[in-house]
Amino acid sequence: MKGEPVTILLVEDDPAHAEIVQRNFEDFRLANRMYHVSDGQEALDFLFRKGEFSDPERSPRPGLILLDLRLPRVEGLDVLKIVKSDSDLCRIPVVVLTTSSAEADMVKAYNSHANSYLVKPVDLPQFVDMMKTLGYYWLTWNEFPFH
Amino acid sequence: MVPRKNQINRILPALLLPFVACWLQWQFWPIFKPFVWFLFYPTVFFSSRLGGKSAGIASTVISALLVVYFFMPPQFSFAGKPVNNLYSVMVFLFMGILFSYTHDRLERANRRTVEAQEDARIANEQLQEARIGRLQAEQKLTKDHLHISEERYRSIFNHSPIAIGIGRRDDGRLVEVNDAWLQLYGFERDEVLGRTTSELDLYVSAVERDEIVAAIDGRGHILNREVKQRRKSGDVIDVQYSAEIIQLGGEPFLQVMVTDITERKSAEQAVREKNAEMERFIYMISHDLKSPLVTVKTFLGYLEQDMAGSDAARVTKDLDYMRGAADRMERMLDDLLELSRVGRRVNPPQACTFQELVQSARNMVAGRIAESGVEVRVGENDVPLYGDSSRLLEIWQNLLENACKFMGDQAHPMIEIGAEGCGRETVFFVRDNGIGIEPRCQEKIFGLFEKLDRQSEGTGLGLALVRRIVELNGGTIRVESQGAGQGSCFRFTLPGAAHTIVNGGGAT
Repeated sequence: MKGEPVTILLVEDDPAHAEIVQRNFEDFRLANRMYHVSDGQEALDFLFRKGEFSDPERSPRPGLILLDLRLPRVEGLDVLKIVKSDSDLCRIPVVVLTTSSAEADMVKAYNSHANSYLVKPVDLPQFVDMMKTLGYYWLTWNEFPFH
Repeated sequence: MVPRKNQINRILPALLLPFVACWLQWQFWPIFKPFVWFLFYPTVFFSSRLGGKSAGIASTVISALLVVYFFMPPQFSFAGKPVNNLYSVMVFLFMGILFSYTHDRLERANRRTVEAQEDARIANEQLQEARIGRLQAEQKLTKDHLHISEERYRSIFNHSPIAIGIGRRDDGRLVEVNDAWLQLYGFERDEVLGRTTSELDLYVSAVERDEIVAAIDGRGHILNREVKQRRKSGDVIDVQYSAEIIQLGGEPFLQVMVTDITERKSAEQAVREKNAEMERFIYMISHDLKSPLVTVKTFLGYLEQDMAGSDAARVTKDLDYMRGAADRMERMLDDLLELSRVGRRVNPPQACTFQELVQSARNMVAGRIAESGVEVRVGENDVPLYGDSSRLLEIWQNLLENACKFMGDQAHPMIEIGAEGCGRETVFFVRDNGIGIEPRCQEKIFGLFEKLDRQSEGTGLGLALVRRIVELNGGTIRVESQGAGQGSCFRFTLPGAAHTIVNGGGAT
């Protein structure tokens, strides 16, 4: 485990879904800083420190991105492509978290170098279980390069 | 046997012969003496040979009497002849009768042979005649059949709805084409006969042409090959091409049959596109409807936990999320229903004008326009339209609402509405100086439930509805914007509602 807590960027347009994810991370006391943006354009602004996120204090470099696919303005898939084609941002693990279980979406996501693809479960216990596993895997065991 | 004329002709000389012999023997009697029968044996032999049985016997009797009277002593009398001389008479008579019978037999046998030969000849002739007759009949039948099948082929060739062309195998020059062929390619007959398909420039792709030639060279035929060809006018058509090598008068020809499948191809393409669109639509809907379901079920789980823990504030929050999701689902379903209604024509098409529709739309959005202080300018020209006016109206109504909604902090908000061009080509536009749309979002905004701004009201039906109405009228819609803050301009066409088509093709 690293001394410095990992920052998570949650890109989710549905406030209810964002609430679910946030509640889970609170419950497991994974002392991490979670930033929530609600569309693709905001996510890019956050990552590239533009617009309202031009202050680096407000937009720390995340160690993990949780990305929904169907987003207003810029689609999740486009955000993924832009992140993965940036020489700096491409090392940030991107976990796609979506309601879509369509084969075509998965293929497109992996082709664009998504690190993982998760389908939101419809039941709370499963959702909790998935978030728990996700938290442990990415925030506890997974190793990140610092620079 | 009844004596025939030629028989009488032979009997008379036969009976005269003894007298001739008698006269000859009388002249040369001093030489022949004492051989009284000297000339008479040959005489009866020839008489019987010549005249047959009866004439032979008669000639024998006459000869005997002549010999006895003229040459046997005592001469010139029938009486007083020596006995030994009478023996010689009896021998002569016997010999004469024998000759006669023998010759008669011989004659009859001869005649029978000749008759048999004649019969055989006649029979043979009849046989030959019969054979020739049958042969001729057969030939005629074959000829008739040939004629009929040729007629049939010609009829099929001429009246076939399939384009048929026949070209020489060696140089590829066309020798015959039917009417369907001429109609398909748009040529006159004298323009094509004696020319090759390359000269007529029928093939769009030289590669495809070479492939067909290779297939025919290889297998001698090609069946139902789909290929792109060109009409005389230059229009490209899709055809189904079959060809085979046939022999005509011992010379090889290539018979080509071509069916126009352009319409089928474009219908297939349209169905494929519709299917793809349908698939995208269903995928999107299922995805969008699943999202609130996840919310409801998950917060139901939280609600149970929070009620057990008696956390009133969390319970209220959980319920709010669930209510919000349920409301969203309801709105989505309403929108879906609304969108599906657009396809079903409810109102009969009617004549209306661009100006009337814009005026009605302005009235419907009047409150909103006044509230946001937008100036609306409408172009001068008018365009007659024919269609479901209440649906067409919704185009301008939604575009106006949309423009008002996304006006931003514009100091002097303005919307311009107009039409350019005429007839089916008319381009309608609704331009605003609002917040504009970034290029990468310009297609996305027409999708169902798509919203660029989560905070804005509505479910994102408006522009999806507009696009659907435009497409049902055979038109297209796009938005032009230089980007954020640059305003936007929606441009669309409605060829299906152009008033030039009065046959009711309006809103289909």
